[in-house]
Amino acid sequence: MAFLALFKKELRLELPSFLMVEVFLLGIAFYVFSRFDESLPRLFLLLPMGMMVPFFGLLRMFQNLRSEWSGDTIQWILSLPASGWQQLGAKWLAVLASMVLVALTIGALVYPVLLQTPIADQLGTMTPSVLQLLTVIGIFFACYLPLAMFSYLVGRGIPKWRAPVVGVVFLGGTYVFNRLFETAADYLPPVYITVKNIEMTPDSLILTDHVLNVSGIFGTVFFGYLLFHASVRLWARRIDV
Amino acid sequence: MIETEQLCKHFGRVQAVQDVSLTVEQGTVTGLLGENGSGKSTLLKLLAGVQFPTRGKAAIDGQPVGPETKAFVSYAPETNPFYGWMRVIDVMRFQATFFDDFSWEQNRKLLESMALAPHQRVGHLSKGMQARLKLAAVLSREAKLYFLDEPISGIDPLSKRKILETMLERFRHLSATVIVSTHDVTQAEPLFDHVVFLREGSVALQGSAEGLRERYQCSLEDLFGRV
Repeated sequence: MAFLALFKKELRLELPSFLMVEVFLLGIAFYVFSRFDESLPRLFLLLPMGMMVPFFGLLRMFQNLRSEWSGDTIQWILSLPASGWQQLGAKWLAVLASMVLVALTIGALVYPVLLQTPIADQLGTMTPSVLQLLTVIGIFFACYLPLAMFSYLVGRGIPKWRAPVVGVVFLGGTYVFNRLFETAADYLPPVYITVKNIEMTPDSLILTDHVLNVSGIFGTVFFGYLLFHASVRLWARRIDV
Repeated sequence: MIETEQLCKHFGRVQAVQDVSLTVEQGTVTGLLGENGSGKSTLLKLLAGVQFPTRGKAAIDGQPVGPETKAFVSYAPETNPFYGWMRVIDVMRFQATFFDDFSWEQNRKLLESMALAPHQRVGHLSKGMQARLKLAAVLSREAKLYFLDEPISGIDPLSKRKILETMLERFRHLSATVIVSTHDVTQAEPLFDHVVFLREGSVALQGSAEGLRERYQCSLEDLFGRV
C-alpha cells in the first residue's frame, strides 16, 4: 500500500511533463503529415523522435528529484516510515512508465507510416525481432535511469561544483555503461539472439540480420542495481544541503 | 522517552547542533527555545529521523532513531511540506496510508475547526492556511510523539490561542510526548512542562518550566531574552 501511494504520487508528479511531451509529439506529427505527402520523408522525420525518449527520461529523473528539495516536500517524504528503496523505486518506476508511454506514442505515429512504405510486406516477419530489440534497449535505459538519480544526489552534496560534478559522474557512468555493455560478454556466458537491423536508404528500408550478445545486458543490470543502491544510501543524507 | 547523547550535526564548517544530551520524559511537553540559527529545527529533524547526526546518538523508547521510530513520530517541519497540486483530502489520505494511528474522526473535527475544505488545493492556500493544514495533518494522528517546528508561525493572533488550546487538549488526552520549537514564547508558554534553551547549537539552560520561573523569578519570555 505504501509503495502504491508513493507510485501514484510520482505518476501525478510526472503528468504535466508527460502531457507537454505528448502535445509536442502530436504537434510535430501534425506538421509532418500536413507538410509531406510521401511516406518515406514522413518516416525519416518521425522516427528520430524516438531518440528523445532516453533524454526525456533522464531529464525527468533530474527534475523529479530537484522538485522535492525546491518544494520542501523532501521533509515530508523523509519523515514517512517508508524505505529509500520504496521512495526511489516509485520515482524510477513512474519515470520509466512515462518513457514507455512516450515511446508507445512515437510507435503509434510511426507504424501507420511504415505500412505505406516498401517494407510493409516484411512487417509480419520483422515485428518479433524489432520487439526483441526494443526490449533490450528498454532494459538498457531502465538501468541507465539510476545513473541520473545517482549523479543528481552526488551533485547535491557539493553545491558550488554541482554542475561539473554531475557532468563528470554522469559521463563517467555512461562510459562505464557502454564498456560494460560491450565487454560483459567476455566475463559472462554469452547469450546470442538474432535481431533485424533496419538500414534506411533514401528510397527504401532494408532489414539486415544482426546478432546481439544479450550478456552485456546482465552487466548493465548489475551496474544499474549498484547505482540504485548507492542512490538509496545518498537519498536521505542529501537533505542537508 | 527520548534520549540524546552528545548529539552533533555539522554542515561543512557550521556546527548546527553541538553535543546535545537531553532526556525527555514520556507524556511531557517540552519547549525548544532559542534564536534563529540556534539549532532548534536541526535538532527536531535529527529526532524525527529526517537528518542523520554527524556524531552522537538519539533514541526513542530505547530504539535508535530510524525508519522504525518514524512510525510513531508525528513531525511537522517549519515550512509547508505538502505538494501544491494535492488537495487537502489528498494530503490526509496520503498520511493515512502510512500511519496506522491516523484518525479520520479527529481529522474531520480538525478540518472543521481550522476552516479547511477537503477539496481546496494546497497551492491555493495562504501561508496561514498552509500552517493550519500542517497542524491538521499532524494532529489527526494518535501518535506517541509529536515534534512540532514553529507550529503556530504564520497563523493570525486571534486563531493562535484557539489552536494552542486544541493542541494542549489533544496532547493531554493522548498523554503524548511533545517537543515544540517556537519563537512565540508568550503564546506557547502555557503548553510547556519543560523548557530547553538552545544557543549556537548547544543547550544553554534546561529545566521544568515552573522550576525555571521560580528560580529566575521571571516569565519564560523574559528568560528567553536573558539566555
